[in-house]
Amino acid sequence: MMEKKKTVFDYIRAVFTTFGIMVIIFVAFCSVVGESARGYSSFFALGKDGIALSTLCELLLFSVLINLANIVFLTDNLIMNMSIVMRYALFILSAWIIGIIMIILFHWFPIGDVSAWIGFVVSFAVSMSIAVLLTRLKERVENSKMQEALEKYNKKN
Amino acid sequence: MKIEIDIDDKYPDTEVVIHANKLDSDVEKLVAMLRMVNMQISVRQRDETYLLDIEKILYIESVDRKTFVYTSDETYESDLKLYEIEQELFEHNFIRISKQSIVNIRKIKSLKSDINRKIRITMNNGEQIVVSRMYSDELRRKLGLK
Repeated sequence: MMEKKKTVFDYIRAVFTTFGIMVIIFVAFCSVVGESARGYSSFFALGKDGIALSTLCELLLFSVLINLANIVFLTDNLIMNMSIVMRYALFILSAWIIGIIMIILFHWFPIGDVSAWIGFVVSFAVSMSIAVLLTRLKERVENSKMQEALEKYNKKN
Repeated sequence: MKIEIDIDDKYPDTEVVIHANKLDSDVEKLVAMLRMVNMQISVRQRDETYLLDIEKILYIESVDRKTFVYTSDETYESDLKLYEIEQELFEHNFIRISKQSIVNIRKIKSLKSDINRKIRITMNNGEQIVVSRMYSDELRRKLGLK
């Protein structure tokens, strides 16, 4: 059975999935550190009462841009021949740049706060490393499964 | 075209005789398809026609409505369309991997997953071909992975 071709609706679905996950994470953050972080970051402008409409729009824009980077680097719609490692490297770099631009543009935290930048870089690096590691592991398992299946097939036929 | 089949114990072997008033492309196609029953395919290279053993084929590709047959070190052209070859060779370990190509599974050296659920194939001669997303599930199924 042939697989369905991806449409713009698949992209919209991916954007809202990313957006939904981010909103859940920020709701959790707001309820825990919302009050103490009020005034420090625009994310926590409402304290523990929730996420501001402007923040929701910023998170939606962030989801749109991240998913655009995903289309550019992690599909072959625009780039046909590139190694997976290079694709992931470029995707992470672009996500990182998008993150920095959003932080500066929307004052997600004070630009002059070094510890906040260190926190951003560390949390970004850790989450991306985990994502890449899991992807590589999954890829290795799948590759060895396919190789085994190929050898079995050639022995049988 | 008139088709006559005569089944009788008096014939020791299967024999196909073609009567035609000229050797046109239809007759050539017919001969090429009959050759495939004998595990051979008639191909052309520099105005010469060869009978190529199917076993030697790595993959077959359609480019600009022409069909090219690749072995480990040679490229030939066939008069048959890709779908015609696919129908005949499906039983002989060949599988469609994209709209443009079919591959001989027995000539695959390794398989690697690629982005978007595609598969990157390395052939025995080191050449790499990508199985499109549309056909990668079919290859997985053929290998018993689905």
